[in-house]
Amino acid sequence: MSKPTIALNSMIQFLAGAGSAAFYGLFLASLYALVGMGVVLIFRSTRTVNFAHGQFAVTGGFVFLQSAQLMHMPVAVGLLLGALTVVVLSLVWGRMSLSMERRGDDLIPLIGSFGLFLALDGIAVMIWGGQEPFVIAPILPEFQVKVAGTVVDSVYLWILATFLICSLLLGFFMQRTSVGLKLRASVQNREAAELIGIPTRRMALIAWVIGSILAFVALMLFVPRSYLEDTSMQAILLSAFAAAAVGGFESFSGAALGALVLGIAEALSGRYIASSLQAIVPLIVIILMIFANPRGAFVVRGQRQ
Amino acid sequence: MKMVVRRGLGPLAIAILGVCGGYFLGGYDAYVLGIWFIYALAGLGLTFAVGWVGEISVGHAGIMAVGAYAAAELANGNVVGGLLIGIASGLVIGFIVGLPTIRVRGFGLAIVTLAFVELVGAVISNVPQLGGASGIFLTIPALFGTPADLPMLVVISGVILAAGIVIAGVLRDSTLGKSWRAVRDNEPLARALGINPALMRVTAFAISGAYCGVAGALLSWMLQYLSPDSFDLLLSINLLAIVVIGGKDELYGSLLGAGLLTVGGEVLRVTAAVQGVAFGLALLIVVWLLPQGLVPALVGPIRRRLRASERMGTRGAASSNAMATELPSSAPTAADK
Repeated sequence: MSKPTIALNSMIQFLAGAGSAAFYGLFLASLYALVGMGVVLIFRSTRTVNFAHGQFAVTGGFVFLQSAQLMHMPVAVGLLLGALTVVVLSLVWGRMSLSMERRGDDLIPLIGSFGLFLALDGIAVMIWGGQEPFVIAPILPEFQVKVAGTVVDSVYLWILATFLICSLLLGFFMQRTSVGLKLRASVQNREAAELIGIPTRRMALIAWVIGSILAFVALMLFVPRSYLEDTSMQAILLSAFAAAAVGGFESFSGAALGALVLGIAEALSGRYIASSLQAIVPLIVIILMIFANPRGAFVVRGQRQ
Repeated sequence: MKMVVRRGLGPLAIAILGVCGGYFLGGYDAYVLGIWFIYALAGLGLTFAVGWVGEISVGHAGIMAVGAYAAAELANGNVVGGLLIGIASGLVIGFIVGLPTIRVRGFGLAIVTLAFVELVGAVISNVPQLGGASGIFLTIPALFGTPADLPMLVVISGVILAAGIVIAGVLRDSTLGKSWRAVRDNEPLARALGINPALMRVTAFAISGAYCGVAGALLSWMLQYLSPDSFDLLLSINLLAIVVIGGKDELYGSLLGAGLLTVGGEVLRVTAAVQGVAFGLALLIVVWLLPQGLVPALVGPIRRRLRASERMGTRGAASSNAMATELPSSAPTAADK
């Protein structure tokens, strides 16, 4: 084989690799964006971050596993029960966070969410732990398509489509519906919103439910590609925090942009530098964001006024 | 004299418990006692950050990891050397973990410290010289030539915890400690008094790191095994829970919290998962109902009575001095609320 052909071949290989890395990056980005948008939504409504956010979704996932796969209920029933679990958890903890936050100490709901993390993690291990890691059968049909010379797995496409649909729906909900308008009003100025009769507490709870369901959706979409464990969402939640930090925890488009950059960076560093680097990328992004964003939502509430 | 008794009585009891427990308890019970001491020591370190400057950190397991690995790699099985290396590396890493407090606080700092503990785990897992993800086994270290076996390690842990409590008590009531709490309770006022808030937070984190570094070195000898999994996020969260459950403003809060986690888990003979559920729920209940923690809830009435009798002047001229040492936590909160 002559030299130019080798060069050409390696070039084609490189491009194909880059193509698949790009799709993998988009897949990661959609995943992070779905979770990150939920984090932003909850932060905007309650000014707190729920460190048990991922654990809510995992608990819902285990309920799905128990009902649909271990007890052989229909998949739809399993999904419903899983989603119901997430809704109940987010309502209960959302209510508690709201009243703790209104008591004045910002740190209390944060510390409490770590307690919830420990408890939910322990419950998952207690009931379902000690068995093999669980394989979740895919809910949506599986297939493979060839896009621009690279074979793309259907999981990637489903999650990308879900992210696009969810972000459009969320945008429509926030900008065009009256509930979204009330939600934004209670975020912007709680006292004024209460004065004109908006139930700000209920608005915040709606945000909690939507945000937590988004994480559950993300988990159910990607988990057929891996295993369901109590730690399934930990790395993703950290990346979602990093993505949300890009938008200062306030902006959905900022979180989506952050997720895109993070996903592509992780995929490329995993492919071309070292696979172990992939886990470190979001951590470095988080640390960089603080120094790039000295006046975002990262600044504590008291300091901003 | 009274001051010495007051400061020394608790730590002396802990040291005696360590000596007796180390040599008279059976192997496994002694081990549990040692783990209790080590968690209490790390928790006491975290108390500087969470309690006295009021900043959440879930990165302190990462500091323990650095202390443990530094001691294992550099001390050559020498206990005194390992402890000193643990202190030094913990001081440096605690300083570094405290640096972000200049820019971020509250939930932002929690996320950054979370990233830190994951970063430490990821780095150790990827460095083959440190044993990678599978970890390394340690030999029994030596104290002045004699092998430091389990009873000896329990005694060392007890003595270090006792010393740690004395030092923490002195620091808390010093000008430095008062400045920390001034920054926590009212930053603008502290600034007006000429206190540098950023400097105060970073010094508290550095000292806090030194405690965790020593605790990490002790823990590695006790387990005789080191892996990134021994110092994961779960340990960090458990440390936070230890501090908050016991009382984040207290000297003995972490001792109570760590006792509930380690000894409580052993007495009830439950699995790690059940223990996690119970401890997590306990943390939830404490932040919900008793945000000041268990120690103030338990000894609060006694303290109030003591303070009242001191106000009546029944305890003589030393009363104002004694009050300052005995009630440092309730004094600022009472004034604050």
